[in-house]
Amino acid sequence: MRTLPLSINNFYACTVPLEGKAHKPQTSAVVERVWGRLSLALRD
Amino acid sequence: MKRVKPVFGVLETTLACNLRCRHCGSSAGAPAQGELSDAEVEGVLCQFADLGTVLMAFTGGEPLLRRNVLGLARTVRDLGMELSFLTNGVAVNERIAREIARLEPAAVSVSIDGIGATHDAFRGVDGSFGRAVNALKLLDAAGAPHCMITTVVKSNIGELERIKELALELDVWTWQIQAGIPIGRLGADEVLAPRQVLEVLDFIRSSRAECRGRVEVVPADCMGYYCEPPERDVAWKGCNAGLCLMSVTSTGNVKGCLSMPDSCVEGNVRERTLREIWEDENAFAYNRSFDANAMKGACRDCEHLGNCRGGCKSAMFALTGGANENPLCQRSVIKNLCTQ
Repeated sequence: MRTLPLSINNFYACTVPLEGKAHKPQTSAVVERVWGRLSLALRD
Repeated sequence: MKRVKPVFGVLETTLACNLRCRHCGSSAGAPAQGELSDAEVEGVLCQFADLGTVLMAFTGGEPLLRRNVLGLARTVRDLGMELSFLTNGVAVNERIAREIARLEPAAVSVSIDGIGATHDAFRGVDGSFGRAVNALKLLDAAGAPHCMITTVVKSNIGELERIKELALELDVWTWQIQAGIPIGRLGADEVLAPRQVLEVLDFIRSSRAECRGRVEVVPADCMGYYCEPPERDVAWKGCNAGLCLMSVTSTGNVKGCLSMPDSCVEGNVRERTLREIWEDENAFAYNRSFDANAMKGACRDCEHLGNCRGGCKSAMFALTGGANENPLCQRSVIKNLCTQ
């Protein structure tokens, strides 16, 4: 199960998906990009 | 607590809303007097980007009722930030779903608070359930990460199982389950009773296991925390407000989290820049100057207090009038039930 370094503890952002869906590769690419950026920012 | 940067930004685009939800935390309906102009919003967005914000959430009211909201959303993306929407779905049609998907949002979350008549009664408008479900289908077809949010109170707790079936049927990406807290229009009589809090947390745990790989079931930040077994994959590390989250209301007031009371307004973007507010040493004191000794109730002696800081501050303010204890914490609920 994929996670972020810090849980997204706010009502307004915690629906952001962290996992891709194999049958939706295009949207999964967006999910991957967002996870990568948040992961990096929250590790700082 | 260490102030990082506002990785998360939230913009209340307007207070206008086409529904009259019983549990609306903003008491939305008509636009607020003196809402920010497009030029002002663009300025605010530039300031968020300059502060290092990664994800900007558009909420309301109903964000899609703001004229040019998709233009403003494009500005978010052009500034290099990720974008999410929280919407009731009523205004979503095929064209809007396509335009939203073109923005490559991180998430588009539609509220579903029950099945059929239950949702409509909650939302105050007949037909709103059908519109919300249709919105989720259109967003999915257009290629946007379509997500669901359910606010649980006494009158819809019995529908969680059916809502889960809907989430699976619609193949949503995430389903956030949150306890209703008595802000805005939600009365205290609708808030979950302590045993119901435990019931919902049990439901979240079992649904997470059952739906894994298909739908991410996400507990909202207003409940749970250090449950055994855990209700989330990453241990709760305390409310983000003022630490890596900053929010702006439709009239430019700045809070850590939009759900906090007006006593937590730190300034207004018409008077000070976001950077001045963020870097103000006295701002967001409830988190930045957290005082464990001020905690009460079950929180006071809890072994997790250093990390947890009492959970969601908005829930604390709403349920207790202060930021000193949290009735939606599982450990607190159990401790209180055991001592009764």
